[in-house]
Amino acid sequence: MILVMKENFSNSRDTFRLGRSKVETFINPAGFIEQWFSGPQKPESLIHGVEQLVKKAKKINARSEAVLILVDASSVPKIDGTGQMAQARKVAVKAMKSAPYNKIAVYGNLAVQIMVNTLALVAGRRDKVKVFADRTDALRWLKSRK
Amino acid sequence: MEDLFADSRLRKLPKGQIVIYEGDSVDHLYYIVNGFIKVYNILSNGSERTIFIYGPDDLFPFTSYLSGSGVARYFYESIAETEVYSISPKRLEQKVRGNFEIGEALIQYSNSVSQQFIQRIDILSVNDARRKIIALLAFLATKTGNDGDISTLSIPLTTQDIANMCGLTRETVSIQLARLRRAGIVSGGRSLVIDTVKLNKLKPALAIHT
Repeated sequence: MILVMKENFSNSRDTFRLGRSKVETFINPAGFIEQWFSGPQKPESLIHGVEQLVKKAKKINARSEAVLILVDASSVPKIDGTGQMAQARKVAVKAMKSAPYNKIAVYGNLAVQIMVNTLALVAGRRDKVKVFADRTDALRWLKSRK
Repeated sequence: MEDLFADSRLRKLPKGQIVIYEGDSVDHLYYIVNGFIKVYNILSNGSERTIFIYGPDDLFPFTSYLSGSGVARYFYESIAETEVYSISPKRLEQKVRGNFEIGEALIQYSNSVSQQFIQRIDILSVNDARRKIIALLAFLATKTGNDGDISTLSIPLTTQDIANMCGLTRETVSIQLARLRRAGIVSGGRSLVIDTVKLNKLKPALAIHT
């Protein structure tokens, strides 16, 4: 029985690996879309992660439910600020502008916070995308009515 | 990035003006046209610890503005007559919205500044006085010195200023500076002159990456 449940759970979880980059996307028991980034990210992993978020957001939105997204980037050691990641960041900005969602809370180190906030600035979505240093604050905002 | 501030107000700051206090919410962002701003905190014993120095073409307190808290983490004070452009966050948001190229430039800039900040904080935490002073001189030569093998710092510094920047006593700084003078690495009076070629040769052995 336990084995079957594990299998069902893993079926709903998308895992992407490329070298040391890993991205997992799933809908957690509270109904949020949750995404975990770990390791130094590559353009392919970031783009895949964004595509998964959009896919799952559309699915939840189709059921007329609130789309809340929680992104854990606390295990990303550093941000690649070079032009190599520019295309991936462009995809993220586009998704921030056009995907159906109510709120996105991202938590991670200062470099992650700065990058996500800058992308939200470019997308004009600073009201819907917020960054935090830890999970508790991110969840608190995500669950609030603000 | 200067274009972001093209229609902004130019402000002249006299030496010693605190522009931002620790804990202030960020209600303006500044672009330095000329001059220098030191970034520091005050320790529980009342002493000052200089973390960073911003110079021409730098933007502050950008990292605080874009961090989750949106609150200044340090004091920001002019250490020379300084000219800055200022802009409100709301105006900045209007200018950046939809402009991916500016966004990319800001990401790359803030990434580079964050790394320099981390290097400075790392150096402040070590116990080796010589390493601290050499790392500081390398940082100051980059931020405030002229290009070339012999770099004259634009900011006049007392031994106490250097002590504050390194978290050392004035006496320790005097001893270390005297050694560096004897080695021909440092010369000059309050406007220090640094032989960057000789200084850079010392950096690998001391694991300094500034």
